[in-house]
Amino acid sequence: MASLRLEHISKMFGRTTVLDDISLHAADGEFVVLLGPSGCGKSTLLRIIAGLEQQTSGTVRIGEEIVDALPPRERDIAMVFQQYALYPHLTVRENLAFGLKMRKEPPAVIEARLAEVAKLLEIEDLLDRKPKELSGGQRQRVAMGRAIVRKPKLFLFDEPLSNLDARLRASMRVELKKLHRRLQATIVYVTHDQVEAMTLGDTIVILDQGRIQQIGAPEQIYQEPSNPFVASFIGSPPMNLIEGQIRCVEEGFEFRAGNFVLGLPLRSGEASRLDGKPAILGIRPEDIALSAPPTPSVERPATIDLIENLGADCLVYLIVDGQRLIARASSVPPQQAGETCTVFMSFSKFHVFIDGRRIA
Amino acid sequence: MHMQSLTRAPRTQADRHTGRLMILPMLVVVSVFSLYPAVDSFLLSLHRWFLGLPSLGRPFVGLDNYREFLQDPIAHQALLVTAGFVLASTALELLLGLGIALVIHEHFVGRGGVRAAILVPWAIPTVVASQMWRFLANDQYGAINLVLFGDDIGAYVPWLADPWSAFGIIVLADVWKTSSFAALLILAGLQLIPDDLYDAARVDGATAWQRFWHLTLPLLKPALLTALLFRTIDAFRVFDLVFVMTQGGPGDATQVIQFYGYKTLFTEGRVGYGTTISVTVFVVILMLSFLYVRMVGSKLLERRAT
Repeated sequence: MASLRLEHISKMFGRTTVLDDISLHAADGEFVVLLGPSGCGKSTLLRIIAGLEQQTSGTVRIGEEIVDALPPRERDIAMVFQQYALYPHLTVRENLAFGLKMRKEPPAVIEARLAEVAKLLEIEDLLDRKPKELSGGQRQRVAMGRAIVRKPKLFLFDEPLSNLDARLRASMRVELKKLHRRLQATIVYVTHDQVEAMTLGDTIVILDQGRIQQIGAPEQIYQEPSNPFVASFIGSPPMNLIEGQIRCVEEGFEFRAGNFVLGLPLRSGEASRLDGKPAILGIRPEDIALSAPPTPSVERPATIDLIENLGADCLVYLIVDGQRLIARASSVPPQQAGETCTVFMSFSKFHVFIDGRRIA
Repeated sequence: MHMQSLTRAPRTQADRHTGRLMILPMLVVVSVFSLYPAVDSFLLSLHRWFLGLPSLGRPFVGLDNYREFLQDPIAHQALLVTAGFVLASTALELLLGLGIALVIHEHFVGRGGVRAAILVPWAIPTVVASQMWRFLANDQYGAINLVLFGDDIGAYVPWLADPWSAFGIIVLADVWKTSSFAALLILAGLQLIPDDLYDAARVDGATAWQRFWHLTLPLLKPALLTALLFRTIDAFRVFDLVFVMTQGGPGDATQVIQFYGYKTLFTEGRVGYGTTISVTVFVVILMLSFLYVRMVGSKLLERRAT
């Protein structure tokens, strides 16, 4: 295994900038998830790491070695593709052995590795089948097996679970996590699914429009999103974002959006600079409570627009001083849709963004 | 897999009736233009009939014509020439077609133009192409001689007068004309191979040659077999090239079986025996077709299902 370091990677297709100055580091054994909406450049970045695509500028290091000039076969990486890309004319056994054969490994070594991987992934019974005789989940295992059997320095996963149905995806996710723990492998994993990112990643890299929006541990990304994009991209339902203005008042600061006014816990040193600035206030649905929380909070009267019962918890669609907010409640509130209630919002859970950056 | 997913809605009696009505015109056309001539030819081949000698009538002779065919050394020679032509032209066309297909499958500036240009020879009518090659191979003003020997007129070779070179020129003309057809079929096969597989193979460590040998060729097998089928059958029926360029000569060096049949029937007026030769060609091609369809057909379906 090895670490991976990307330094100022940019990629242009013609005049379109697909990736803009991407720098990141994956430590030896780290599970890094590249997360972003489709078209954000995450797959292109993965292909650049693999050597399937050449960056316009910047450097890729695997271990200590600069690999920019090396073709994929000399980078000692393995990749799992979204469509699995299993060789349709070869049996599972031949698919697994393909890479080792191409590298002219002795048959005894191939045989031993094959047995090891087949056992690890529990695909011993499938070895003599062709890919078309396998289910989606089985193909997925074989595709992973083909990567693992080579014992590469680095694993690259390109949305490997996106072709599976929801139930299978959940179970494969758990297996992947176990597999990572067992192999202690360095993994770069591309996905647009935030659940996969949150559950699998040691580090999440959020990409949008070819730029890194934030790099951080899952909790950090969730609790301290660095800009409104990250705030709205992570979390389901997404964070409530209200566009308004910062005002300097006698008691400190307040956030104002039409009739919606909230006092803000900002340090007063920033006073003059912030006064009158347009700002975005963010509150996660679970930070809006329908009963008084133990922490200091503001309360507001609200009208209930709609209640969605999800079973484990429920979503309450509210109108607070003219603003539409979604709250997540652990139990169905006693009020009906159309009735009023009181909501509580903790000061410490406010997210404030000015000029696209987080300030609190 | 796909076959099963296309489950049929239950048909009513009226539906079946409409269905039959709709295929009726096609059945009529096929019967009049294919079935009737084939059956009639077979019946003709069981008779002795000389065109110029009506007084002899058209006696039924059973399989006499076929017995004669089995013992006719000229027919055997013609079959041999045909087999040689089929082998040489099909092999060269598939090889060249594969090469062309691989080139025009790549991305490069002007690919569309090259693809169109490649198809030009195939679009030219065979008779015109044959005439052109006859000119090219001419012993006095042929371009082949000009390119090879320039002003040295003494060295000019009468290509179509030598048995081997005449055969070679005919193969060359056929290869020139139909390689692009093979290329087209093979290109279609190439386009069916997902790019992902090549990416996977590159990451797996396969060199360009290994990718060609372990991925492209095996995955191209159905397309190659299809091209082989079409080219073999076409080559076996070769007639116009020979008719225009050599009339089967020099001697019987380029007399392919179809041309021998034509000569027997129309020049010599031996309708019964000439038809026997045609029927034989028909049967050989029919068997070839069955063989290939059994070999290729199942594979093609299998490929679709993945």
